[in-house]
Formats: sequence, C-alpha cells, structure tokens
Amino acid sequence: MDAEFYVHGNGWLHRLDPRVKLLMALAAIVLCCVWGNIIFLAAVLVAIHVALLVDATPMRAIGRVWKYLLPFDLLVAIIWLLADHSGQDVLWQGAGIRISAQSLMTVAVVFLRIADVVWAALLMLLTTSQAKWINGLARLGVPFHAATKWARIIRWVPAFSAANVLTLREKQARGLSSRFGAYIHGWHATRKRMQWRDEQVDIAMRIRGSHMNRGTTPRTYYANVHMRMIDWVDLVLTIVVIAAVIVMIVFGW
Amino acid sequence: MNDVITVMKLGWQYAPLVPGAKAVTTLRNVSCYVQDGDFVGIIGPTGAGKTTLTRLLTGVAPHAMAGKITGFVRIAGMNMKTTSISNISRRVGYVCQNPQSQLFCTTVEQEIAYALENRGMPLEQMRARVASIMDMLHIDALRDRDPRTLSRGEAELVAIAAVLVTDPEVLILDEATSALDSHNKRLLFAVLDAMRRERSMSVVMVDQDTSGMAQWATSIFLMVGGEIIRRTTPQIFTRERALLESVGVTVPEESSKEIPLSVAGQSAVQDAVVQFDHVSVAYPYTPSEQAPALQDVSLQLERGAFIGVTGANGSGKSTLASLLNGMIRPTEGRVLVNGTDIAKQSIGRMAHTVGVVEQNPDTQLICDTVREEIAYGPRKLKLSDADVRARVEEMISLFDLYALEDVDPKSLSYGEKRAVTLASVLAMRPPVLVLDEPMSGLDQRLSSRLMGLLERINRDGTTVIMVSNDTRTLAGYCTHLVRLDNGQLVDAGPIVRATTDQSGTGSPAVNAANDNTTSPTNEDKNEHTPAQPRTVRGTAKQKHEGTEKHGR
Repeated sequence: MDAEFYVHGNGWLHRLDPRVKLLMALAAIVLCCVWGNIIFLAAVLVAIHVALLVDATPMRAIGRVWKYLLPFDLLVAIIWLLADHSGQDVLWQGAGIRISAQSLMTVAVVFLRIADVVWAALLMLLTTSQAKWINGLARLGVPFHAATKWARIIRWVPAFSAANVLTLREKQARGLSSRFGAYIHGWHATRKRMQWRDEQVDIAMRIRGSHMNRGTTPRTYYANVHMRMIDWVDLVLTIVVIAAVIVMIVFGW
Repeated sequence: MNDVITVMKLGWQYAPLVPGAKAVTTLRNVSCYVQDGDFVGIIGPTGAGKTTLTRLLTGVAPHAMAGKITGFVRIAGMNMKTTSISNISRRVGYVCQNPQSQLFCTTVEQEIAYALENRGMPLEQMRARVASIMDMLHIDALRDRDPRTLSRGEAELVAIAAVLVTDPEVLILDEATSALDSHNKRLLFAVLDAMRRERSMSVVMVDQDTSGMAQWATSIFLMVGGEIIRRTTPQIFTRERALLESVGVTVPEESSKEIPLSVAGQSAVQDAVVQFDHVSVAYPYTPSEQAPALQDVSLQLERGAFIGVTGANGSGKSTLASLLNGMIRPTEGRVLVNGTDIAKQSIGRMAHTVGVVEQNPDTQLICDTVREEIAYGPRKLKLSDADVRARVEEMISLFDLYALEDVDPKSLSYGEKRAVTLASVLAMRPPVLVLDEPMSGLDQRLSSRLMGLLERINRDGTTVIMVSNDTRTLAGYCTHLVRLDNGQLVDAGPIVRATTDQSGTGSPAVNAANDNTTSPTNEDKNEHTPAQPRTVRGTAKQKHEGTEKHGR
C-alpha cells in the first residue's frame, strides 16, 4: 500500500548527490525532447541502463519498468506509423497505410524519445530515497513542506497501484473470483484506502512535530546531503556533456 | 507534585465518515488528573473510549479528526484546544494503535530521526540519540530495514523508539505493545521505568493486556461506555476482580510467569490438510544480507487440529499464515492445501477453503459499513440471502456490534476493527481458519466468546491455525504447536499436557520439562531424519478428550 519507485541500494547513483542527479535527469529529458538525433537518443538509453547496472539497481526493477513501458511505447509507435504518411522512399503501401524510410525513422525517434524520457525520470526516482529528495530539494531552497509534498506526490502512482492490488487481493481472499470485476469495483475501496493512509501519514508526521514552531532554529536533516569530490566531478562531466550536445544541436549534427 | 494532565468534563462525538451514517459519541463528561512522573494505565472493554481519550490528550482530535468536543484538556502546560498537534508533540510523545500506519520513511534509522529533524537538532547529536534509543530497545539490527518490511511487533518497537527518542515529558501509548512478544514487553517496561526515574517522565498506557500495568503503573483509570468509572491504584486488579471481569477487562494472573510449552515427538500424519514442502519466502528487494522471512520450512498439519503458531517478533509467523490463502507465494518450495498447490490457485479459489484473519485489520476492511463488511464474504460464496442474513446476525451478536452496524469500519477503534475482521472471516465458515494474533485489541469478554466459538467450530471439524504469543491461550486451547525462530522451524507437534492447572484459572498446565526444544522419544530420534517434514497430528476428537481430561 505504501509502495514507491525507490529501490533500496548503495550503488554510485544511490550515493550521488540528488541535486547532481536531478540536473542529469532534467538535462537528459530536455535534450531528448529537443534533439531528435537517433544515435544520441539510443546512446542516452544505453547510458542510462549502463549507469543503473553499474549502480547495481536490481534487474528485477529494470525489467518491471520495461514490462509496462514496452507495450505502451510499441503501441504509440504503431499508431504513429499508421498515421504518418510522410516520406519519399516508400517501402510498402496498401490498405490506406504508407510506410516510408523517413516515417520508420520518425517512429524510431518517437519510440526512443519516450523510453529516454521515462528512463531519465526513473534514473532519479529509482535511486533517490524520500529523505534524499526532501533534503536535496531543501538544499536547493525549496521549503520543507513543499519538498515533503513533492516526495509524497511522486509516490502516489506506485502507492495507488499497490493499494489497488491489495484491495483486489483482500476481496479475493473473501471469495471474489472475478479478477476483472474486482478491478472495476475496487476503485472505491482503493480510493478510500489511499485517503485513509494519507490521513494516517499526515497525523503521524504531525505527532512527531512536522509543523512544529521552532522559532529561528532551522530544520535539520539526518540524510546528510553534501557535495563530495565525486559529486563535483559528476557535475562537471554533466555540464560538459550538456554543452557538447548543445554545440552539436546548434551546428546541426 | 504538579498535574501534568488535567481533563475536565471532556466529551467527544465523531462526525459520520460516510453520508447517512450515525455520529458516534465515544466520550462523556470525563474528568481526570495525572501527576508529574505518574504511570497511568487506562483499562476498559473494547469501545470504551480509551483511544478517543488518548487522541484528545494529544490534540489528534479535534485538530485532525472531525467531531464535536466539549470540556477542557491541559497537557504539559498546554491547552490542547489552542495548541497544534505538532507543538503538543514538543513535550508529549504519542504512539497510536496501528504502528505500521505511523511509519513513512525509507529506513528505520530515518524514521527514528524524523522527530529530531523537526526539532532542528544538530546531526551529530541526532546520530548519538538515534543510536542510543536503538540500543536501548535492541533494534540495532533493524537500522537499515525498510519499515514496510517489518513485522507488526518490530514496527511497534520502531514506532515507540521514534517517540521515545525525543525524550518526552508525557508518553502516551495506545495499544502500542499488543504485538510485542514477552521478551520485548519486559524490555519496554524496564526502559520506561528507567526513563521515568531519570527524567520524571509521565506515562499513559492503554492496553488490553493488563499484566504490565499491574506491575508498573501507579494509577489505573477504568473506562466503561465513554466514562471513567474508577480512578484508583493497581490494587484494583486484586480487590475488584469481579468488577473488572464483569466489564470485560483482562485481569492479570497472580503468577505472571509464562507457561512453558513443550511439544511431543514426531509421528506420521494420516490426513494432512496443509503441507509445507521446503518453503522459503523472501520479500521483493530484500537486501542480500537480510535473512528470508521463512527458510526451508517443511511441515504437515493434520485436518481437524487446533494449531498454535508461536515465536518471537519477526520470526515469520505472519508470513506463514499469509501463505495459506495465497496472499503470499513461496519463493522456493510448495504449500499444499487439501493437496492443491496454492501457487496454482487464485486467491479467490483458495477463499473457499482457507479463511485468514490478518494481524492488521486496516488492510482487511473493504466495505462502507460493518454490516456490509461481514456480509461480503458469505455473499461472494453465493449463499442465499437468508443464510447471509443469518450469519451476519450471528456475528453481530457474537461480537456485540449492534451499535456499530451502520458505522464505517475504518472509523472504529483497533479492538472494534479486530472484531469486525474476525466476524467477516468467521461468517464465511472456511474449513481451514487461520487467525493472526486474533485476541490482540479484544477485551476479555470478546476474547472468551471468540475462543469459545473457535473451540466449537474446531470440534465440528474446522482446522484452526492460530498465531499467538499468549502462552496461556495456546496452552488452554491448542492441541498442537508450531514454533518458529528467525524464519526457521524449531518445533512442531502435539502439545504435551502433563499436569492439571491448580490455579483454577481454566488453563491446563503444560509439561515444562523442556521449554524450547522438542523432546523426542528414543524411537522418534531413530526415525527422524532432517529430510522428513515436521508433523502436526491430531483430531478434534482426540483434542477434546485431552482437554476434558485436564479439566478445562
């Protein structure tokens, strides 16, 4: 019920300062959206997977993402292919469908772009704990309560999904045999469960002083986020890569 | 000494959570005082208003709950009505009923540090305080664990640590120790006693298990029907036993010693209803250094037996229970119920054979009213409307839920929720009934009724598997015992009853020759090999002959 994207671990991505990681993820998302170079898009996808594997993020977590992402991405690609009638080098035509070398290239770019954007976001989500999110954002000047709210918002999708699975299982454990029916009728119970859980977490935070009046004393953070030498190196490398890609975009490569 | 808590003419009515539902008055005209350094035990039957009182003391009601308040509360020098929950928390620590709902951080260590972060404590000081409290409660091993993977007992310890770390002037524990094993309970009371002596901390504790209060409390408040009817000393447990028993409060036994349980040697099972075949369970994303929840458990349970499952907190009891209806699937090995591999059956299909009452009632509640909740299972089993109605009525009567029929079960107290979840599974009358700490949160009256019902349905042929650390109940009702430790099977077999209880408490004494280990006969020793599954054998008939013989 309280699921999240974050996967426990202690690899280099897990240890990396969340601010640097956030810059890497945002840069990848923006550049992938701006530049449709297929080699660049493929390279980003490979680089993200290599980074996650070196971090020792479990293959199970990576596979789980692909399990949901791949059908969605393929569906978008197929619809795009069917709808795109552009391009000079026609490879196949018939039944109102026209496939050209250019349209195939466009579809490949769309496919890779979606995958890149999702994986760039997950690079941050899979390897950054709630505490590091909050501390990282606080160090960027985001108020604590806004950072906490953000950390809870990004958990909403996996938490809702987990709550729905739990509701379904509880109903089945009480005799419901139809899985489809359970999904349809489960939304109400899931929504109530989520609402209840949110209220409980809110109360739990308050009874441990989340809105305490500290006067001028600032809030402190147990998950200590600070820039180590390796974080500075990563930051410089990220900036260099961003600059290089911008140069390539400007020169039209 | 000064009063640290002053309550005058306090009343509370919960606003209905769903349209059309009734508003519930849970507190009426309550007045009481707690002195600095006191240890107050609040006792009373399920639904007496104990939880509501703790919520009002800490400001959770009315600041985070809808309802109507009357009267006045002053705690640690703060007026509850005009002070926010967070500011009250500066001096008042509160651990509420469901520990798992209070844990929201990524690791146990961060969970404990959270309240210190909110106080702006420097990092080094925080680290020292967190380490100290983890050491005091012996939870160092849980430091890097994800709180979602903790057992209920472990979660209770972490929730208590997360509050004790702030060194509160007043500590309020609402059924916060219900899942702790005896070792951890003793440890907690010793820690509280040390803190009270060192820092003059006041403790307000609500619990159905009154044995700790009898020993440690300085005052007792008895609540019935939303009112405090006695403000007295722990001597109430000896002087007014009849009163306490009549309102449903568990009276601690004069001898607080645990009943050691011993298991007889192994023998072949004639008709196994459940078989565990080298079963291991590891939860997803468990760190490699963390032991699996269950490790290579092989076991057979005979049809018609009344089986107790026991073990320390975190030993894998709840995991074993959840395997039986397929809510959890084994990582390795097979679980067979009636010869069918649970991995090959849907949970819905398993529900026809196995009913499981989980430890945490909040996860199990799925309907909008208590009546709907109880009727859900029988309806899904396609019983006729008349049968469904009859079963619902029977359960409402058994658990005394008349006043709550149309109330949203999520809004009930922990004990009431437990009663509703028990009723909703018992109404399905499954051939195999699994209950995870069924008496936790229930008062003596409801516990006795529940155990009476379990005894009756077991006599009629239902196999009952009960997870519990209450050795008195296990000794009193179970024919067989399964003991787990750190995910591994330690003991399994019929409970040996050697002598009859002389105390007249109704609990037959059990052979104490060997507390923790099986005492196999020579023949058994020769026959037993590591590859053989442990067996739990026996029939309802056999068991009842045994219990009659021992005078229960």
